[in-house]
Amino acid sequence: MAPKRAEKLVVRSTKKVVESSVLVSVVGKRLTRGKKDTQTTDGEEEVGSQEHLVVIPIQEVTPQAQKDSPNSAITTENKAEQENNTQDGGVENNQEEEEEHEEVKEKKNKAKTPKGKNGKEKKRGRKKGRRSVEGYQRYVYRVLKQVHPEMGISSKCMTVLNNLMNDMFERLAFEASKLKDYTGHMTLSSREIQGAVRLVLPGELGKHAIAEGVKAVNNYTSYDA
Amino acid sequence: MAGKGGKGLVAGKTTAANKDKDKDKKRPVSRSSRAGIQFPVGRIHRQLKQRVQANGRVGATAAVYLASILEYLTAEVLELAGNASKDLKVKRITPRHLQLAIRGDEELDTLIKGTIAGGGVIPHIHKSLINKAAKE
Repeated sequence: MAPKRAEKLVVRSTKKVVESSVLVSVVGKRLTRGKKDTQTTDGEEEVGSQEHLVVIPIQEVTPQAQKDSPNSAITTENKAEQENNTQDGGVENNQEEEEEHEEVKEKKNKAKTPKGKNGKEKKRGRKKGRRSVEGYQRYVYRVLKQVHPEMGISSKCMTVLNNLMNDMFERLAFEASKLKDYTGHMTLSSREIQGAVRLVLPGELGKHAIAEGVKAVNNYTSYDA
Repeated sequence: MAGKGGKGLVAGKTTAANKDKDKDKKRPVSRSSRAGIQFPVGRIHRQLKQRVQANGRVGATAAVYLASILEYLTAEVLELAGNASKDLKVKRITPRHLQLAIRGDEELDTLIKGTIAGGGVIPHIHKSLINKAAKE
């Protein structure tokens, strides 16, 4: 008696050669299994003698892209898949449908990868760094350590002082700008700042401030590296 | 021995040349340290150029002068606030101490007329509100 035929298995081997275009040759064969060895019987016919050639244009993928998305890149290795199909005609139809599905998946994977302006993929997982907000906090703290080395300062108090410094800067800059316009000069110099200090700061506070400013300017101009 | 001496002379020349090169290369020095102040001269200079409508023409000494004035005002306020916190036997300056310091100084009081957040008020009761019996 002839050995019983097991379920019909279809082995599809796909060869993909990566060049300017990819040639995919699909050959379907029907295999039978014996009790011990896998043999083809004489009466069987080879299914899929017709070869389907599909040309798939591909884009060159950078090595970073291959690391990020291994599914999107086309590998050149042979793939063997086993499917349980009983009908001969259904084998070829299923193969064609699966090839179409693979093409659609590849296109989707290529479309999914985010690309920047230059076509390079964006790096994932990077968090946006906090944008540093400019303020006078560190300088106020340095001055505090000069005046009272053992003292600390609360955050609310630091906010109040920061706002105070911004307000004083606005007042002095606005007054100096008006003085520049009145005198007809084009450049804002320390002379305009000094006039603004005399106008804005009252009494002895203004006099001491002018003395400090003159001393700082003298240090700056007479600095030798 | 002569060979060693020659090598030593050559090495000495090269090291001297390297020292001269190192002297030629100057490390960058901030304008704040040049002026001997703590506040940022460069940042204030940039902000002045953005703020003032003078076609961006701001003198180098203007930023130094303004930075030193801001530092002086900060030091004045912090010194008085630190004294107020010392009187209250605490080691951290709070808005209450700032309020007491600013309202306690006549010139700073006229300069800073706004409200200080969390500062409270100066303790004061008008004389006419005090009972005569309480006086006696």
